Amino acid sequence: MISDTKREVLRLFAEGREQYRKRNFEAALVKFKAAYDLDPKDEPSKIFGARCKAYMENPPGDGWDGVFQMTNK
Amino acid sequence: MSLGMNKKKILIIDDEQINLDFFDVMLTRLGFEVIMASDGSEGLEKIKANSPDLIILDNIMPQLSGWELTKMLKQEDEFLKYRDIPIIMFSAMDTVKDKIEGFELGIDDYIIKPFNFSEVLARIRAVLRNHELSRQIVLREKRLALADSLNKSLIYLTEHLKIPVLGLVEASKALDVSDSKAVETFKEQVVVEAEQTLAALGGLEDTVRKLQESEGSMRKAELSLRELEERFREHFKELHNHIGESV
Repeated sequence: MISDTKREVLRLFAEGREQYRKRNFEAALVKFKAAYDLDPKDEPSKIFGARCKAYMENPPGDGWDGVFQMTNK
Repeated sequence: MSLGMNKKKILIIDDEQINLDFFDVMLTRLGFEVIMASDGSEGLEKIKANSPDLIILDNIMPQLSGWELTKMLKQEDEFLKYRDIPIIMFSAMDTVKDKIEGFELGIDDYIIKPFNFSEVLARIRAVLRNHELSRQIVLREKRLALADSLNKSLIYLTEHLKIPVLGLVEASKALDVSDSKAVETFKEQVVVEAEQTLAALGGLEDTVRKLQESEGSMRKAELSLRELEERFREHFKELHNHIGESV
């Protein structure tokens, strides 16, 4: 049995991923953040949220396939 | 002195990176300058370094909590200069006791997580607006005090002018023009009184000029309430276009 909150988190996360693939990183960040607010333990939202910010500052190249490349650490 | 809404600086103190990123992106887009700190002690350093117009603070943080940071800011001499910076505190806890303690510590608003971004913006707007209004009141108080001191100088001058002038009138009435020695004395009296009066007028002129200069610079920093409202409206008009797109 999946809770309503979890269902909503999954919906927001899926919408965030959709925007993310389309390179709408700001819109994606809004979705990931909304998912995180509902469930602060939701690690995927946090991770993708951080990637959005990184891509807004350094947009990925033309051949980007949605896979995040580590550039530091 | 910075005026109205020209690039207000907002400091976000939160240990969760996604919150920092979110506020950074959103508030920058709305025309704020955003400064970020990921824990309480970094927050205190950034307060000193940047002197922000508003602090958005997460309550629950490792090491220095939002409460502790607020207490230091409001009570320690080291932060005297920054004591009046408005604070909006976020918390996941929704207890009346926490809220009351927060307000007693001197925070300006308290928001429970999870929050709606448009509500947060509306609260940021209200807090900044209140703070600007208080600043304007202080400015007006200063101008009133100036006007008051000018009034007092004028009263002082008129009172002190009356006596020598009346003295001269009396002396001239009593003067026997055939008595050349009396005329000579009267002439001297006129010269002395006139010189003293001129000196007093000169002093008043200086005072008026100085007051006008400082009043002028205060006036420049002062906004009418209507102007203030317009600036806020202008600044937040993007908000409505923006909220439609978010969650």
